Amino acid sequence: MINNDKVRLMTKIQVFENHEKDALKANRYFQKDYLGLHLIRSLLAYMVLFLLVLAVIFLYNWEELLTAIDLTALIHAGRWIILSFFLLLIPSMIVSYIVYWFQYRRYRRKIKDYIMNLKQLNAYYNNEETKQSAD
Amino acid sequence: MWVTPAQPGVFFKTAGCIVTKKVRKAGFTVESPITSIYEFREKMRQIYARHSWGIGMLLKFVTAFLMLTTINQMAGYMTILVSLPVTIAIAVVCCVLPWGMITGIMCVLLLLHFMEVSFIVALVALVPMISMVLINLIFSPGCQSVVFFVPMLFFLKIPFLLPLVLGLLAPVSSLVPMLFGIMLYYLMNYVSSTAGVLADATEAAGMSARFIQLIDGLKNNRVFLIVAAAFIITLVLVYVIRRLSIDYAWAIAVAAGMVTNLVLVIFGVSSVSESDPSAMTAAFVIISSIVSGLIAFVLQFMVFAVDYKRTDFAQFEDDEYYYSVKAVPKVRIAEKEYDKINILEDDTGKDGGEQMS
Repeated sequence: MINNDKVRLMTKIQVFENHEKDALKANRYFQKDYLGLHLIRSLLAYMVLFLLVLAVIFLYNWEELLTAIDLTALIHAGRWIILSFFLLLIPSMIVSYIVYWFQYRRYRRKIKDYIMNLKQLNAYYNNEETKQSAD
Repeated sequence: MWVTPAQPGVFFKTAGCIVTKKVRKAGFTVESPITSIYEFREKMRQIYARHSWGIGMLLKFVTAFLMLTTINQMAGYMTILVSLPVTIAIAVVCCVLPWGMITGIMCVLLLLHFMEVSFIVALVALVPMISMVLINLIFSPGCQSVVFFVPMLFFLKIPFLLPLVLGLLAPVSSLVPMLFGIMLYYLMNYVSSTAGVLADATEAAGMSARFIQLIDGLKNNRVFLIVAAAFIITLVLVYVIRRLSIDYAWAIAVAAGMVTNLVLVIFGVSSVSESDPSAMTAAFVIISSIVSGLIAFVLQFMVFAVDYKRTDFAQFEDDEYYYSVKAVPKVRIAEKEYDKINILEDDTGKDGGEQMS
């Protein structure tokens, strides 16, 4: 016989799993691990973006750079590139940390109701098992 | 016998009709048009709740078709992709795909068109696309599909709708994909006006000059900078106002955003010469801003102020059964209340009808 309450509960759980896949993925990690993973990803993406922008600037000014090239200018340019890399890296990582921290908190809030429903469903199954073993 | 307002019972007794509680002295029902609009909105919600799957697919098809038409009109250099059957086929495929993949398909199609002009044009267009993906990984702004809404709205002559809608619906970080969309639009615009020159570059020196020309085409485009700045300010303003805890915050946000956008763009384009190919006339800016504002008001009332829940499908199993469940959200429409009063003489011979309250 179909237990309507159990079906309603299972439907709610399944609908949540259909719509909140990102929240379920985030739930597999502790907060520190989640933030660490996304910071590493952000760092790699930042490095690629920095190289891309550097390539565009180089291609845009390549004629001037090739005509004015000498060792002093190269060292000077290298210093500026490294300095700008770190100057932009620090605020980017701070913003990235804040964004993913808020994102993790938002996912955890959504997951609370889902976990409550899972516990309720677990209680249903435990009751059924108890009844069967009593029979 | 003349009927006086003090003797409505006599009039209705003579007429022998059934009347509603809302009858006034003149004898007509008077209903507020505002109530009808609210009822219409709830009807729309009910229809969406029942047919969300079909409506969602139809909206995706229409949006994808408009995006493809925009790309074909502005950057349709590859003739095979411009044909109507191919456009419709791609739009049909986009119906079943998520918005992220639709944006990816539009990017690929745009790059294919640009490759037809020159490799350098495709390379310059690839840079903002890759940058957007990387920025999404770093800051997770979301709303990547906004990128191709920008050229689509420009094509439909209502570009000023975008910052209003994004300010109401999306977080502030959506200005990142919006900016990339504006960049792509003005790049398409520039390429369409200089395609012949850009295509004529085969040597390395020529390709380098074309690369610099394309970057300068964006960097020195004052209209692009003005529109980008105006859209950013408008989006932030609308976002801030709609989050305030005041009555009619959303409507005030739309009005303030519309006025701000209009003033900023008018002030900015007045300094651009008319010979600039991307210049906008003041008349276009005013009319487009007003139309965009009106559309935003309608959307805000009909769509954004209501929770449009959709039908959900769930499949699961337990030890005894497999379940396939369709969950349709309940939408209750407030129906009109009528008290039917039958005004007829009763058997006791008393004056018929109950007094209207």
